[in-house]
Amino acid sequence: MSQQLISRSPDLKRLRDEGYDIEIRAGHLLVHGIPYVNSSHSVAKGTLVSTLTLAGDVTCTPGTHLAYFIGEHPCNMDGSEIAQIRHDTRAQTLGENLVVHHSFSSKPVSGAYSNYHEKMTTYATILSSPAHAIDPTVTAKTFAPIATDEGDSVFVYLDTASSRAGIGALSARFAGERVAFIGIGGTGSYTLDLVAKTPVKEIHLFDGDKFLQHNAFRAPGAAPIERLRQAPYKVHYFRDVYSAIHRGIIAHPYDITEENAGELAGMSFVFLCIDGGSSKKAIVARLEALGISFVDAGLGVELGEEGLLGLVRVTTSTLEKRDHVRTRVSFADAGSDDLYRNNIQIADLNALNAALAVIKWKKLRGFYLDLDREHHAIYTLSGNVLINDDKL
Amino acid sequence: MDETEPGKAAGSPSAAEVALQHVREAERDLAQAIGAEARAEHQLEHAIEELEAAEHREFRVIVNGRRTEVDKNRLSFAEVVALAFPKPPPGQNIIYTVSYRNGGDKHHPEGTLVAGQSVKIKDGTIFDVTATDKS
Repeated sequence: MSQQLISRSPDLKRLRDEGYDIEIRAGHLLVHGIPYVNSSHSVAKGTLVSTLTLAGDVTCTPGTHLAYFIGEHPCNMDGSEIAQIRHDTRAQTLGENLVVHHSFSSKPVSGAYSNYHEKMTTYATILSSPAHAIDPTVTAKTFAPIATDEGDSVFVYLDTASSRAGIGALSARFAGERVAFIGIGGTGSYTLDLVAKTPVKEIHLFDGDKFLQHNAFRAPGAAPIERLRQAPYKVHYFRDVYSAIHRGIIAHPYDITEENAGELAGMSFVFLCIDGGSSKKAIVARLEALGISFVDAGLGVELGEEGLLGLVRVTTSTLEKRDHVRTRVSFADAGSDDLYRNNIQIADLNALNAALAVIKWKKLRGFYLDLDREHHAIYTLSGNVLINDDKL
Repeated sequence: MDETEPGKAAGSPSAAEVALQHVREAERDLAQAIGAEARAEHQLEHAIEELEAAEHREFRVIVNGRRTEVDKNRLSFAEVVALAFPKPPPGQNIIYTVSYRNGGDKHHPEGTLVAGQSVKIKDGTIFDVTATDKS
């Protein structure tokens, strides 16, 4: 609720985007972490408080130039209280869980503050200037993490990257999606790493394998040895890691096969990141029957006379184009491929495969411009070349 | 007697109309010349291809990083896969991914091949072949 108010009010959003630690509590605006100098000449942190004048769910012009403060009375560098802003010093309860210690009065030259950004930054500057003179590194712009309320957002904390870049409306294109990952190995885990940072509604992970030591070398982040000793299922390991940022991750600790592929009904998109094999053929057929778009991501590495070479493939199947998949994707049971298995230092190829797959999904959703509309793309490692095929 | 517009003599086109006519004639000549050049280029390519086929010329290509020579100027998907994997691994239903660059067709010097397709080659054509079935 309060984050919506902040997002819709340009002055509050600007405070948040600039890194101020703001909170709406008991109908008041709080700015935490304001550095000031106390009477013993040391730098402390306090909270500026203002009443909040609203129209519906956006801010209006501030109703008063007065502000409140939680903390000691702010001082000059010499320890004397800043007299120019002094108004009142007594504990006042402004609302539930909101007790202030001082009030300040500093009227702008124009007679009134035009918005809450102007008001709060003006007071913050007055309070912080002496502190800044003592320690130039202190700042009120702390970029403190912003938690969200459960039910408000799929994210555990607010997606400030999108709001700061002004692409919030674009990233909303992913909201409501139910995305499934079939296979959460090297490529699947890097794909998850990217998708978990989009506001999709649900992320379903399907994989029956355990997360073992060698997997840790082809996965994003760094797995602690204690977690490896527990030998968790891959889906549980990655659910636990990415639940730190996304609330909608659902783990299914088994493989998708011909028998249970019906569980994919209702998904809006599928990332197919499993080795070739007969079950892949059945999954593709079921996805087509269910009318679900998907990308199949795969790579291969060969040992040439002068070093490793390989191809990274992203094949896309949509309602508009599916016929090419059977000539492009191998459904043969992959034999034991010692080259891939033993060369674990190729996570960059998994990451590239994942990034190309996620870029294609975002193009299908209209987030990125897609002029070629290719449904098959091959990256050739030895020449650093990307080739598009099966264009619409 | 003809009715004519005032200030314009009948039967004598303006200077602009004459110039426009010259532009159109020059454009037509240019289009014909371009067409003739394209036809000649195509004939030359075809003749060279014939010559190469008749000579059994060897072409040096690179397949999966290995330099090799072939005695024909086109390679099919199956031939490229056979060059990459002389002893095919078990599991005959593997669909290989083939990409090429520096190809012999200057209009399409790079691309991919699937079963049934072939590509014109030249000295220095590079193929990369693998089953992209790993995750």
